[in-house]
This record gives sequence, C-alpha cells and structure tokens, in this order.
Amino acid sequence: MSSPTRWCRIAAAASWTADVGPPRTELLSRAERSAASFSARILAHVIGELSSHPDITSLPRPWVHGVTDLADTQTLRDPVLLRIIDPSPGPLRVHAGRTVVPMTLLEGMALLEDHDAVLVTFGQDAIAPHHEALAAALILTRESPNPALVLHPPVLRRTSSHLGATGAKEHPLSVSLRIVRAINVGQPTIETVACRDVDHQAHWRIELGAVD
Amino acid sequence: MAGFPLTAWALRHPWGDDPDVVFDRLREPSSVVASEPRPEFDRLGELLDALDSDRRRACSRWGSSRVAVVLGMAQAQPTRERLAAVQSMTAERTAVGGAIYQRLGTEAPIAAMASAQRLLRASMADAVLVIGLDDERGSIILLERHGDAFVELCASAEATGTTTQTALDESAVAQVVTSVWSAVGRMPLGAVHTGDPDLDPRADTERRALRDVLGPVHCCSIPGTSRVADVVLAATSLVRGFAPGPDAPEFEHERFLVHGFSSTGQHVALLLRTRA
Repeated sequence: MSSPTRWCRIAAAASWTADVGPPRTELLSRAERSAASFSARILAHVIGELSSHPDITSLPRPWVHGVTDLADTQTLRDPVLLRIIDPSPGPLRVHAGRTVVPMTLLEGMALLEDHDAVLVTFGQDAIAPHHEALAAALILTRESPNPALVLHPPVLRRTSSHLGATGAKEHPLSVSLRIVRAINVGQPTIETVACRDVDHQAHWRIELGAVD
Repeated sequence: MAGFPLTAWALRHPWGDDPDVVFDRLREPSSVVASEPRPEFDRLGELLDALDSDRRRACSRWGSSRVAVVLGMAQAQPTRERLAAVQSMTAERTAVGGAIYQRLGTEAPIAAMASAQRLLRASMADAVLVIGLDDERGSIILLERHGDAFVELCASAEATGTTTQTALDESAVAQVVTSVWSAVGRMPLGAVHTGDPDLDPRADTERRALRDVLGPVHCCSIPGTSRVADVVLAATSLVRGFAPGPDAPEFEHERFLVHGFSSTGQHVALLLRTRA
C-alpha cells in the first residue's frame, strides 16, 4: 500500500553550543544586541551561519521551529530574529516532547511538497532539567549544489536493540547537533531518539545517508 | 490534484457533541445555551473514543506505522506540562506507529489539516488523525489516502505574513487562497469560511481580501474566535448542502474554502469539496 519513501538534501547546516564561544552578533546592531534574549542570540548565530554559507543566496520560506520550551515561542517574535529572517515574520511551531527533532524534520520534509526549500531550526536556552543552551539550523531542499548526503524521513522502529538511542535524560535537541556535525563533515550517520511515550522498545530513526 | 477523503469526524462543543446539532444551532445562535466546557483531557478522551473503531480500521488497512496523528493546539495559555500530557495520552490511546506531533497557535486546528495533507502527499503516511483542541472545544478528523467518504480535502496552503492582533496582511490572505483555489482550476465555490466579525475586528478586512481574489462569493463564519470546530462544520455543511450560519443559503457549488489566521502571522487555507 505504501509509496516509496522520499528523501531530501541539505543545502546548509549550522549549530551553536557553549563550546563555540559567545554567539556571534555581527548581524545585529548595538541596540539589537542589548535587547535580544540569549535564545534569540543563539538562534541568530546559527541563522547567520546559514546566511553566510556560499551556496545560500537567501533564507528560504517557510520556517519550521521545533519547540521544546514554550517560553521560547516568545523568542520567535523577537524583532531581531524577524529582521534576520525577513521577509518571513514567524515560524510554524512544532511541539513533540522528546521526539521534537524527528517530528520537526518530518514536518519540514513534508513542506517540500509545496516549497523548494525549508528552514528548520531548534534552539533553547539553558533551563531545567537540561542545563545546556544549544541551537541548530538546517536548510532542507529538493535539490542542492552539494548533494553529498541525503536525509531520509524519520521512521519509528520497534526493536529492543536500539543501542545509542537518545535516552530520556539527554537533551531532546542533542540529536540535532549530531546531525548538523555529520552534515558538515560529510559523514553518513544514523541517529535514534527513544520514544518511550508509545513503547519502551521503540525509537525514531533518522538516517543521513550517502548519495548512491 | 487528487483529494484525500475525510472518512470520519467528531466534535466536542459547548453547543452539543453532534456536528449536525451544532450546525442547526448556528441558524439561531442567540437562542443557544452553552454547557460548561468539560476538562481538556475528558474532551480528548471522548474524541479518541468517538473515532476508535475508525482508527482501528485505518491501522488494520494501512498498517499502524502508516497512521500518523497531528494535533492542532489552540489553547490560550498552553503549558509544557499540558502539551506533554496531551501528547502522551494521545500516543497511549491511539497506539499508532507513525508520527505524532503538535502544531501550536490560534490557526493550529486548521493548520494541522494542512500538515496532514502534506504528510499524505509526501507519502509519509497513509492515514492521519487530525485533532483540534482549545479551552472549550475539540474536534477529530480521519483523513485517508483512499476511502469511502462524501467530503474530501483537495488542497491546502500555508503562508506567513505580517498579520498582528490589530491588522491583517491582505497579501498573505491572497497568497494562500489563490494557491488552494488554483490547485483545482479556480472552480466556483459554494462558500468561504472566515473569522467572526462580531468578535474579531480583522474579519471585515479578511472578507474584503477574500472577495478581492474570489469575487462575490458567500462568506460565513462560526461564532467564537477558536478555529477548532471550523473544518468539521465545513464538512458537515457540505453534507447538508447549506452554508453554516443564520442565513444558511443553499449551496450552488459544492466546494467550501476555509481560511484561518493567527496574530503571529500564520495564514492557512483549505479547500473541501464533495466527491464526484
């Protein structure tokens, strides 16, 4: 009954963690730097990285944001971010608990039915229970000038041997960092996210594969 | 563009739980006595129960891994804990093996239908349960790749604009409406569903923007600012052959366009029609 599963390409990807150092603010004016929240600054950092990518002439619409903390939804109306993302004034917001990364990627890939490219972002300030601020951004495309890797739609796998699956205590956005790093070094990877809401033996599988 | 049939739907509304009853009461909304809204999780449980046999049939037909759930959450003040509890309850009660996620925002109950249609078009699912929830109402719709149904969703579109709490971005309205209308060849419409002019000062601008694109089509609205009941009542109106509302004109054309927007700038349009 099922049709063949599709995949997409990634035109550019960027991430930010504390290891990178303070978020870069070259894109922001002095007034914007002082007014922006930290969440907005780290999102601005990764979006700025994408903007400066040699293959990216403009940021795509639509913009899909994986929401982990509802306080961050206010960040998404931050005028600093909106100016950078211009002319897209606000993202489609996806919430899915610890499976937010695979679900947001799924929504982004489905949007490629209507658009040539989609901006997908994740970002969260350091708040309990995850005391680590991080952000990631990807541009998904139907076509890309650098098609080294393709992203397959996340699928739910029911198995008891999902070694390496993201644990319940891990930051729900950590998997997005691993995907961005794999993209930027051109290394295929398979990431997993435990889905204990449904079944203790199930996980979402995100495959970043090499082009045949 | 091929349409996807709405093979089942249900509603939980302060005016009644039968979509036909709510539809009939729209003719005389001033005489309606609304009941106290039930707790959110009670409404969600009742909605899941109402379509339980349809969900089981869909899982049996397509395989559990090909059935997804998209929730459109339009609560005034959602909290992380509430959203997590809704997600968890939905996952446990439906036991589907496909995607389960939530769209957030005022327009989310309609936008969730657009997400579901994209999942079907992209072959990422063969059936999608679309659930809408706000502080008082709830709706559930089963959208499938194929099936016996009188109403189908034949196009959807979303766009971001500069709409705020006080101003409507007319170009964003034109963008989504033109997109869905063009997808089926700009056929005549029976009605267009809009915001409530008694409650939303942007509704008049919305109607003007819609008529600029569509011409003098009949516009109707459902009382209340939430979009949760809109799609179910639009589908019900196609079954009944009348537009919802006090004037309730009979449809000349069996196609119904639903437009929704939020103060965060999101616009969404759906085109429903009766199946040939």
